[in-house]
Amino acid sequence: MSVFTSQIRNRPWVWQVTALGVVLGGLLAASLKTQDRIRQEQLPTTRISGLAAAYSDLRDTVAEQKKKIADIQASLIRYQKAAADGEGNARLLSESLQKANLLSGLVAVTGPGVVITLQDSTKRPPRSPEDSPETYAEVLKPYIIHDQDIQAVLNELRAAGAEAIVINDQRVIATTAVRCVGPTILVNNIPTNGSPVKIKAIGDPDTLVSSMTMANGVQDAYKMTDPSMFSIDKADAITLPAYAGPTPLRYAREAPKAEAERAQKQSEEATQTGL
Amino acid sequence: MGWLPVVGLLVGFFVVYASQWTIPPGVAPYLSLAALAGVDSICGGIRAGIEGKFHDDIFLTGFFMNTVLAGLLAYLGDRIGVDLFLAAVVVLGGRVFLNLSLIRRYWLTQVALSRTKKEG
Repeated sequence: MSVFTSQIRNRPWVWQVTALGVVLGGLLAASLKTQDRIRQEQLPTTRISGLAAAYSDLRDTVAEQKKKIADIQASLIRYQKAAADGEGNARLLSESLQKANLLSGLVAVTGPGVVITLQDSTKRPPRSPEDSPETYAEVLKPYIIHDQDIQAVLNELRAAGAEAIVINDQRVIATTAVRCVGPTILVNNIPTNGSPVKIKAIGDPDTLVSSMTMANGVQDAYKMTDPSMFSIDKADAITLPAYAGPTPLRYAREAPKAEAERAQKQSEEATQTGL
Repeated sequence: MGWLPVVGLLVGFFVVYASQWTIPPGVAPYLSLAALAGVDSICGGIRAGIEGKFHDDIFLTGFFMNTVLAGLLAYLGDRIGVDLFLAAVVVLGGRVFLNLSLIRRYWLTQVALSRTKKEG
């Protein structure tokens, strides 16, 4: 009937082709599965050269945007200076604007403070043979710096009266989020070093240090694992950079006067019942 | 017996597809190329078998060497910035087409022969 039945019978090559056919099927399935996964993750391509091109494109865009932001902020400062040279109302306005900028982190500030370094422990807890990779990851967790560690420091610093804070040289402002993404830490949506993480804060150095080192405080949390994960140093004068990103507010608007007064009243009442 | 290689292919495919085994995305393109080289070897093997020129040593070494070499060459090409990937796709793809068309021709000849036998 066909070429196979007439010529193949009693020939060993069909079995060999079949055996390697199994291997080939496995290869095809593996690459199909992987390509499916890649499609789900929406990578532009998996070729190293393609990824490199996409990466350098994105990096160029980021650099360009950064330059634009710097330009706009420079012209903003120029306008503010021009306003400050004016008379009367304009001058008052510009003074209060300077204050607001200082508080919101839009200008570089300098002063005494502390430098805190958080880093992953070099120690590794012993791994028992019955640990699956998941349970071992759970055991390993306290030995690695996560966003929660940074948040704890941030909260404590603010409670102790820190006036300006940077994390890995990214200024912390009202809308700043600190978030772990893989091995990096996103601060103001900019990827920074995951370990060591350097946090600098301006404030009274003694108060800041004692707030960090008090019993059951932030530093004590590392006593159980590895004390070298947390270190703090006083500094006589540190300069923190201004927030350099965009500051769009898309939803918040200034409230009308009546609304604002009502909200204020509510807040006062809440304070009283709180006492 | 002609369907045996196809059955083997399907068995291998579903065993790996159903398993939890995955490979990192970084080596995915090389694996795809290795799979193409495997297709080429299998087609070549079938063709040689039909022609009666099948040598098991050539077939077995050819399959493994070609898959590994295709992956390695593409990797090397990516490293040194030469698109050997494309070269391998063109060469291997061309051979797959050639082998398949030859297999088809042999099959057609066979069908025609058996028909004339019946009539004669």
